[in-house]
Amino acid sequence: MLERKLVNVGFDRVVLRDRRPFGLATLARYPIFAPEFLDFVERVVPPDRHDALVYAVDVTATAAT
Amino acid sequence: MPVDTAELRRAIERVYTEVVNDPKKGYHFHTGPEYAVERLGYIREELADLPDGVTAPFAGVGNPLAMGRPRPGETVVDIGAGSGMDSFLAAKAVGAAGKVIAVDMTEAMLLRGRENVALTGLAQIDYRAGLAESLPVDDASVDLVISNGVINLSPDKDGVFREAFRVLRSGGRLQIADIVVHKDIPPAGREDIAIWTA
Repeated sequence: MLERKLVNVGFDRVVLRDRRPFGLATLARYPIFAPEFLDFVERVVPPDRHDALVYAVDVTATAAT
Repeated sequence: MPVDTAELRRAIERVYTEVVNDPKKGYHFHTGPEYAVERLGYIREELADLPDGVTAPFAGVGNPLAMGRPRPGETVVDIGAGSGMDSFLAAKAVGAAGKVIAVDMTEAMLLRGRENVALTGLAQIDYRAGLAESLPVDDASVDLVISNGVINLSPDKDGVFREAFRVLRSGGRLQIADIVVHKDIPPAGREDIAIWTA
């Protein structure tokens, strides 16, 4: 989805360079996830998915020439 | 009901103002240079050269400059620069002939950033107040756009990407580190400001 968004606005050579799964415990260390969010996620997401809820990604792209 | 964008921005400002004013308070999230070195691969010696006011409030999720350093003389935009750790590292790479435009919407971050510019003498860093969705930067004037854990906070991510593309010169590069989900956030989550902002 991220790659498509970048291509849609004109970028090319979009490369996903890293993809690190974040589980509940890791998410709790970052400012973008409030305790309320973590509680919410814990309630609504099945336990077998708690180890990979979101992904941290490093992305590069080039403005098309 | 769509998210209240103004309230979202106020909530983000509250959180990050607290981070910059009291970075060692002990948040539920990690901040600072040790976290950056141990978890994200920043180079310890490079961070040691920067003032504590630059590195202590750092709260990124990755390392955009690990994907490629800017070259001497280039112009860089840092979207949501915060206290500026990535901006200061980029400024050292571009040198006095280059320029780093550090954009942030949080007044406390701008104030701290400008203090740090004065402290380091890295006058090639230009802190500008602005939003990721409407960058205060001229069209096609930039070689590299970086961002670290910021775009996920925007309710208009397409708008952020359009702005990054607008300011880049032909052939310019985008290097971002951020958090993504593989499925859409449920509507209830989208409406909860606390969920968006932490």
